[in-house]
Amino acid sequence: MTASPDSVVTIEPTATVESKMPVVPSMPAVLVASGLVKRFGQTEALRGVDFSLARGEVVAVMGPSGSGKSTLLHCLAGILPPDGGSVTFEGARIDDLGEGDRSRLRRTAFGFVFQFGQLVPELSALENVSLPLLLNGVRRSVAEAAAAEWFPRLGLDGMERRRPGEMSGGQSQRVAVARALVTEPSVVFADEPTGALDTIAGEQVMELLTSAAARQNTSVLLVTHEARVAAFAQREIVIRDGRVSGSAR
Amino acid sequence: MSVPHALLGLLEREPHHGYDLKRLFDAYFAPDRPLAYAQVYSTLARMEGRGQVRLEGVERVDGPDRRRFAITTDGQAELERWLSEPLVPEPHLQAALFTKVVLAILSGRPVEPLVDAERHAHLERMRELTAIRRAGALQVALLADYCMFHLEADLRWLDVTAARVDDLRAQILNVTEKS
Amino acid sequence: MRFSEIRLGVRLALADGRRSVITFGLTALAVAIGTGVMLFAVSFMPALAERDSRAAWRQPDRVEDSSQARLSMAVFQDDYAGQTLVRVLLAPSTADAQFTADAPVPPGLSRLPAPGEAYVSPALADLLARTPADELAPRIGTVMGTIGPDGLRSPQELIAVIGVDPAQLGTWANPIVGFRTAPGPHNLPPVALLILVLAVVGALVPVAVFVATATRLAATRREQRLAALRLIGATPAQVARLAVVEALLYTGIGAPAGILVFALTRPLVAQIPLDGGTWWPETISPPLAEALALMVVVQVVGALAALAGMRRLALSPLGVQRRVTPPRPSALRLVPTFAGVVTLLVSLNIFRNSTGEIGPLAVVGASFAAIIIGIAFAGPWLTALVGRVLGRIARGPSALLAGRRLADDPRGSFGSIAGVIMAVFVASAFFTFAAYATAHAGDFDAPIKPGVVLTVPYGANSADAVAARLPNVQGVRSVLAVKEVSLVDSRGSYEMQAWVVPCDTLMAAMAIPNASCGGTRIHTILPPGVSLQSSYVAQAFDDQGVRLPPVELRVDPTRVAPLVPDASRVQGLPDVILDPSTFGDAGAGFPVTRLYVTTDDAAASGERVRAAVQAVDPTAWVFIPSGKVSSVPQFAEVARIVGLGLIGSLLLAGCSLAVATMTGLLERRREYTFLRAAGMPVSRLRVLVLLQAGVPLVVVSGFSALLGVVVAQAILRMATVAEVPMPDPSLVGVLGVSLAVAMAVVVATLPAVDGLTRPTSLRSE
Repeated sequence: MTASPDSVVTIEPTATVESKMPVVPSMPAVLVASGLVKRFGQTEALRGVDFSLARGEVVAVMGPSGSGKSTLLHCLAGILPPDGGSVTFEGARIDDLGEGDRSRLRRTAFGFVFQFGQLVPELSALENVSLPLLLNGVRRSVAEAAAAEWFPRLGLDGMERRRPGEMSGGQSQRVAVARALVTEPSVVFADEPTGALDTIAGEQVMELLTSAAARQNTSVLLVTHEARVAAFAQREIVIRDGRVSGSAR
Repeated sequence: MSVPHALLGLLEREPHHGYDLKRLFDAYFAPDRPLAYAQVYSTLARMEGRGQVRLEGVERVDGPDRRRFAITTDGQAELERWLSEPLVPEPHLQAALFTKVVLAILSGRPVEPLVDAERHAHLERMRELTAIRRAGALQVALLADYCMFHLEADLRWLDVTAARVDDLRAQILNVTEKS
Repeated sequence: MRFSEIRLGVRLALADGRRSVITFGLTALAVAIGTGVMLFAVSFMPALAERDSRAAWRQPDRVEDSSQARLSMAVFQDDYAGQTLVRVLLAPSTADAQFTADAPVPPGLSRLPAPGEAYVSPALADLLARTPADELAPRIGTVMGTIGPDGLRSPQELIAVIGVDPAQLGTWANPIVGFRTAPGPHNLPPVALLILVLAVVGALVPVAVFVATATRLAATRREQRLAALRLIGATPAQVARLAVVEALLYTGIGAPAGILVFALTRPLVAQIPLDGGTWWPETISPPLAEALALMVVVQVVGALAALAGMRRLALSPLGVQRRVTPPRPSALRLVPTFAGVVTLLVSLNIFRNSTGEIGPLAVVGASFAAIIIGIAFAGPWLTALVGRVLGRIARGPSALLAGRRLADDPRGSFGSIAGVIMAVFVASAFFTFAAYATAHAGDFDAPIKPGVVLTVPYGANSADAVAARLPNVQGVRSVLAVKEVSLVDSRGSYEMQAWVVPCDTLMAAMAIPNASCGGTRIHTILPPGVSLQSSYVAQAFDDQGVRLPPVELRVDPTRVAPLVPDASRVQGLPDVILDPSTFGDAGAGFPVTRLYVTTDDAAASGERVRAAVQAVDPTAWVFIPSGKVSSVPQFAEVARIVGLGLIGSLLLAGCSLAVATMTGLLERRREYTFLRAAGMPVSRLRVLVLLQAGVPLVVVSGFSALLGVVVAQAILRMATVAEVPMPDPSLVGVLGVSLAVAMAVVVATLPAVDGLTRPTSLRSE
């Protein structure tokens, strides 16, 4: 570290550092998209996107507004069937499945975190977290017990009975993260998860999301326009005008 | 400040007199802080020494020295290298970034890949800093945060600029016509 | 209020584009329907009065000085094949052989019928044309023309104005000077009056509450809009004025539209029968003053409801924005219902000891109304309770979400089903009343066997003429004449009624269980411990009222036997039945007071008997047993009206339930869409919607039905000493159908659930 009068304090970029971020050996791709095309009426939101996500990887999808990054997330997550190209999850095609099958895939294999407004206001935090398990037919008592384990992990001790309206934004996003992870999914899709939060809360959420996902070897697909949030990912891709641009490894 | 590279970029289009170079530099790169003649000539001298520019001709008509400089193949290569390689991310890069973008526009090079490369380098750096922040003591974390915020500021500027490329191109070429 | 504020209010009300136009339309429609129903309610009493005044002429306005009389009249009401038939017999006043020139003519007739002639109502004319000549026409006579509407209660009425000789009227004659134009006092039994009042209250109150809640349909969004205004600096007063403008927009258009609804549906409503007939549409019209007052009241109620909603905003504009848990409805909400029940029981007690006076009746009606309103008031608490229980026992996500939503926002969930709940309560109460009414139908006389017709000739000398004619009537097998005398004991103080007729032939005509004639000639039907003395004097009067010579009767106690083991179970029989041989020839002069005519049990035979009898003696009473007939037909009709009211309020409630369901769904649109994105199938969402609407509907309806039956049973047990049965099990069927209809509307909205929460609509960028 050097400090000089006419330049600011810098940290040597090349210094070797010990990092708690686990080194991810290259693992097989868990989610692969090739040649994705999606149209909305006359507009082409995706014009042939290739993408692959490895197990346990955290990837950020960046790009200007209207570039199609949310559409890419929706196609990869099986929310939207693409108009062209294919999406493969763990080796099997998912883009040609019916809505019922895709729905089942989403609730068993995927988790979702959105910017805001996903928690049901009249349910307690614990009940909100246990919802995906209930959707999968788990017994209520078992589901709530499993959900309860996430509260201390995310620094939410004692908040089980609180309602979303009685929490701060950061706390309710952490509850959303717990909800996304409670089914131990293969992939978590996060669409601007920190968009409604201030800096500190946002970093807390990202830290918890990435470390919890790492523990379970869950991949994370993170749509964001904020660089500091993308910095939590291991790599980024840039979508511009419906295509991948920029240097992605 | 990357004055040398700016001059190289100007010379890439056509040879100029030192006098013209200063005027063009001011117009494109530093409208609020004109370059001193002395700095122009000293920079040119250094570059000549490195073989990046060569003296093409001297004219002495009434008045000051009118030495004309041209870019060499070495200079050309150096310019290419500088433009295509991303800068090492550190706080306060605006001037260099700005120079790069303007040069790219001037020389008709595509701006987006340049911006993407810069962004990628910035994000790599920010990833490193994130890891440092996790691992280190509080003072280190504070410093890391400081760097991160500035890098983020650069990136935001890059994004905005990339979005405004067409307008920027029109403006700059407008200035070209006037000069 | 400045004009600019009014314009702003209107603009705001319609600001949402298509959605607000739909909401506006539905709410204004609800107000219109409610106003229309109220107009009918206000027209009810005048229509009844008009009907009564058109029939007033049938009540003889008897004059004491018969020399003044211009004609004599007598009115008889029986039936033909179960349909009520009224015969008005007119005879010249005794002094004249025919009607004088100044004799009054009943309304609807052009002249008086001469003896043997008749004027009939159009419905009766049709009936006559369709029936065989010997079944009805002999009772009427030669039809000269029809009676106009001015003299008829209803278009279906069967009434004939028959000209007769004065001699045929006999003692039934009422000398009159002119026909009444104003009706006399009602002769409804007090219980019927009570039921009628409760019926009107039961029909009106749900409608009024519905109108009030309908104006709250748009309330949530209005409050949000106006809260935004408050945040930017509008004063509570300004915001309140805007809310009132918006409410008046609904009521100002809805109320006059209600007049249109009233006018359009009046021909249909006029078809609803009451008291044996339908209505002429023009008689159903609200008095001007009351109609105008109603218009004003609707506006005021709408404005007050809007202001009530604004109270929360006046305190804090943020209260609407923040999604904190609204305060739970308190258990105190149950108080009005219980208070109403208590007041009802107390006032019933008072009413029982009164004679149908207005005071206690009004209190009974008011407390009934209080119970109904109390249900609407207690509804949110019940709904919240249902929600809490559902949330606790829920196993799947749909039930959990539905239960918690109900517990969280019971007012929103309940508001739209309030109308159904109240209608269920009212319907259950009236099914109970109707069960009572049908159980206590005409138990006057001793039960006679099917196919036997009882004839009681009243006219002078008519019994012989009747008895002579009957054997020639098609279908008649035998005629049994019964003579009647009074038995006075030796001291002259104790009088018993006796029939002189062979016991076995009498029992052949009657259906009296455990009756035995044995070998004796005297049979008693006396309470235990009472026995015959050894000698009596038999007294009787002839047709003219002249006392016949008394005949002595010696009673041999060994030749006396009780007719039945338990005399208390038998009705309609005299104290003693004497075989004619006990009097021998001395009894020849006794008057025949009744004839039991055994027929071949064909329906037409009974009518032929009646026609033959009344052709000879128009004043005769003929009883044809034909199953249970309600002694007070109004009960069944009221039950039918209540049933119609139930269906009507179901349709109204169905619409508001649909709107409320959609509104609830829209409020959670984002959350549910995200849940679908996270993998919740649409089917679960549909189940959620159905549970959220259906569970409170069914549970609270069940509670209301139970309360309705209990309250009605309490009313009946207190108002009368007769036995009160359980309501007809068809109540369960009716309730089931009603609830199914209401839920059907909700089911119809289900397709929209998919479209509204499609995950593909997520665009956060």
